[in-house]
Amino acid sequence: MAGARQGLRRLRALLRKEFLLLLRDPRMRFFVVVPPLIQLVIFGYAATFDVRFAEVGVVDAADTAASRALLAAVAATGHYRLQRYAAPDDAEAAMAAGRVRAVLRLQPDFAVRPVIQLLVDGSDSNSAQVILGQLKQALKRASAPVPGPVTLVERNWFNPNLDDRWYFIPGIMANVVLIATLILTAMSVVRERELGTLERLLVTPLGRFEFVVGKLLPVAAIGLFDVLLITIIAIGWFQVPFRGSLAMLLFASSLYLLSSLGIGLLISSYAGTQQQAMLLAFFVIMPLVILSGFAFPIANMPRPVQWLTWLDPLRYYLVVVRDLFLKGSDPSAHGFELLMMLLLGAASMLLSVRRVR
Amino acid sequence: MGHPDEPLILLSRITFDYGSGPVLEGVGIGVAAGEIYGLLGADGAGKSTLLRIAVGQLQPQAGEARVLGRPVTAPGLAPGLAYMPQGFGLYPDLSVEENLAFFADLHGLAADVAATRIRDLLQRTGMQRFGRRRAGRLSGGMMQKLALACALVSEPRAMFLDEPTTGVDPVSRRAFWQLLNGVRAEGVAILYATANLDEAERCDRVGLLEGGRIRRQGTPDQLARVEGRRLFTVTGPGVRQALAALRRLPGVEWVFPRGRAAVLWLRDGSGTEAVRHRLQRIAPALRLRETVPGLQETVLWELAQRSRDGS
Repeated sequence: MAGARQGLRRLRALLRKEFLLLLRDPRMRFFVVVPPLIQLVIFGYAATFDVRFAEVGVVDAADTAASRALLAAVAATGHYRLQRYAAPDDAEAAMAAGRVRAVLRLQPDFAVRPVIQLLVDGSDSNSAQVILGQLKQALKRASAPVPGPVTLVERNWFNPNLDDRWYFIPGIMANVVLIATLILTAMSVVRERELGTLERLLVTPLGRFEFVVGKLLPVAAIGLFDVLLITIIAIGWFQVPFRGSLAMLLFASSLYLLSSLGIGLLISSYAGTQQQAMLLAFFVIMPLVILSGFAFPIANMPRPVQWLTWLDPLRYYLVVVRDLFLKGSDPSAHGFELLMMLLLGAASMLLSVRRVR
Repeated sequence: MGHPDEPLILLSRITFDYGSGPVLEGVGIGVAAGEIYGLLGADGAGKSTLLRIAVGQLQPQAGEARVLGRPVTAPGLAPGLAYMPQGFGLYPDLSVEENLAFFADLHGLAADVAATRIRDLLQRTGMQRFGRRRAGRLSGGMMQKLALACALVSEPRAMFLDEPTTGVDPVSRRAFWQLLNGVRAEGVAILYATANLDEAERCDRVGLLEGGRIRRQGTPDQLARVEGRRLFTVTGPGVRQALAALRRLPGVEWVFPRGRAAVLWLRDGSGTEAVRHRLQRIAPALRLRETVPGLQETVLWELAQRSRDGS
């Protein structure tokens, strides 16, 4: 009993020291608040597959009222700036030079044979596909309704305008929290080693478990703080809806933090200096992000790579967080993801605690 | 518990290897209560490794480390033990008082006891006015005192100091040694690793660690004496130009310059008068006088001898 009380006292002393160091070190204060905000704002605006304000070349050989009306309707979407060219060769040269990303060609007989040729710059395949899809949609809407018995009414659930930001911002939160907490954990332990304080601590009654808990709890608190901060900005600034439960978000984030803290601790056991810790952290973070499905669909990856993604805690957290923001799903719907995060977190923790001597 | 006569720090036949050849081979050291044992060796001699073994951070391949009558098997298990690693081991963003309070808390001191102890340590180290100053803003000498105070906050009976005065000016070093002498007077056993001969001379006993072994150990006076050799100092104008000629004098073992003088080791029975006579022929103004050897002259000579013999 007395031993446990002493253990708690030591833990309290370590926690107090950790918070004091985190709050007093201007670099740490900066690291906790500013980079997550900058990343959120930059990614919030930059991470989008939507193509907006693309330059589109137009060769309107028909130049009829109908063709002009159609092109005006395309321009009215606000996503394209139309550049008119007299000859097809001029338009193609403009695309080769990168001045336009697509070309619309309307033949002289457009009035009798309404066929539009759409050329897209395939050198940027991703944008090309998006422009192709968007222009097709725009042309379809701009054309006269097709007479017939069936009318197709499309509606997108959870994200009616298919706004990329709604999809990306919860994912950015998951990434930012991973990066911040993983690096902070690794740096915090390695810094003790660099200062020589770790050697001193090892000759005190402080136990290994107390040391690990004392090191991880403050970083976990910072991780949850970042989750709340980003959620508030996502809702207040980026107008992303949050339809789930905040308690569930914090619970899922805690499970997710088990993994990021465990991996951070593991890195600290291999790194001798803060520079090494930083390098190792980036070696780990990059694959975690790529394999998570944040930017590239997991279903498109080769089968062996898909198996690897099962070991990526970010993969599961992304599902839960996106659902909490956009769908507001029932917590029971995420039992599998929560279990996987718990298992991966426990495994990384066990591995790292064994390595920390 | 160990035998009542057992030294508070007892390292027996310690052998250690990081995997690239032995660092320590059968090292044995005993440090009694109220004694400062100087572990003297060049950089890379294995001093820090031995200290880490003594505090349980490393496990030797052979031999045993016992502190306060108990075997040291793992870190954190030996109360009454303090360790001051190289580089002070302080938190630069915590104040002097916060550093002390943190280590007091880790050692389980009650709040009132810790407060009294911290006040006392600040007074002893002359840092009362700096209690709220961040450790990172202290001078090197003050940091060193704080590092020692952090080690003393738990009132240890055995202390391990790893080159604590590295990079500290001579005045601060003297103040540090005054503090350390006070700690010794309280009966604490201190194992003090140093590469500095001046500091080794301040210790009660010294062990010369070289090539993974303790080559010689004893009091600084014992270590300074060399059987069959006498130490002389040559002074006078032109002494530095005469070094080569001095080396050729009969019976001269080794000559090295020191300031405006030269120090030479002479074999016993070489005939001081004959040397003096030859010296007059080199330069009439040169004077020869016998000097009591200190640890510096002896250790430097021994190291030079071993380096010449390739052992």
